[in-house]
Amino acid sequence: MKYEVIVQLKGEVLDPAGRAIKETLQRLGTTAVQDVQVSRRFVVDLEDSTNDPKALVESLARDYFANSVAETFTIKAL
Amino acid sequence: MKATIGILQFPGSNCDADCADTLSRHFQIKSQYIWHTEKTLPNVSGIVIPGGFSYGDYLRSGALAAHSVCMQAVREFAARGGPVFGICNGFQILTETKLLPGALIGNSGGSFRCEYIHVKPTTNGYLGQLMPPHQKAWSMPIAHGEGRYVIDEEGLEELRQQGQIALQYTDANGAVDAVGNPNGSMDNIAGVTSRDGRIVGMMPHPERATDTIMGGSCDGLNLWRHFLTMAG
Repeated sequence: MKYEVIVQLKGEVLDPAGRAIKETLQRLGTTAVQDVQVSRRFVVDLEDSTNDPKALVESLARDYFANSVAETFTIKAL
Repeated sequence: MKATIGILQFPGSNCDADCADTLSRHFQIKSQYIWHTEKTLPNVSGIVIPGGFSYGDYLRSGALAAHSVCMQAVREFAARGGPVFGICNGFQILTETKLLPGALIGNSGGSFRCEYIHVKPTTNGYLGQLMPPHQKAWSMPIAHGEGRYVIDEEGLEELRQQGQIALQYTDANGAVDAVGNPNGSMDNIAGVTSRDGRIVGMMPHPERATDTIMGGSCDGLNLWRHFLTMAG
């Protein structure tokens, strides 16, 4: 069974990659673009017999995939 | 007998030999490399976590190294009051292990910065007495893509109150301003310490500022002297 974890910088933390992409798109004439946020996607494939898989993925996201000082994460079952 | 210093080595460490060279040539101190798979530390009186790209910096800078076997031993060493000095990637590893507060994320300008910058110790911090009276700022190289120090407001205030902001980026005259800040760090923070001052983390490279023959300054020696004083 697969879970998707998306990690991105907290809203108040400047995302330089997102800003650079946004500014480039705007410069190229795509003026409708208001903002771009870059995130990282992890897909975790667990054994089907895993006990409480959501809790396991949450702990992986909290302890490894994201740094809680600067980042937030969302989890979705695929 | 003089202290022996342990220098951690991860796959991707690349400043380990520079640190050993600084210790031996300038302070006649023996060092011992400690491979990342070591469960116990040898008999050392201080630990250096050198710069580099531990485990390729995959996941985040320092994140995988923070969970390595040897870092568990370093946690125990630090808990006993052993001094730990993390430089660049070593600083990132120390924040990822939570031995130091905050986080180091991508430079605000989006690019890797490799250049000489200026820093000075904060007056109420543990390094506050290290600045010679005739100097306004130290010159030292940085080489990092992820050196922007961030922490929540509450944590930042605590750092200020507790004197844990060790070093701040400055201009050439020692003024803490935006011009001297190479990576967008909050409060121009270039280095912090633990509450008791025994753990020091900094992004600039003091081991690369030890010989005028390299074309730069010798200001890094101030930091090494401080660390070695703690290591006894």
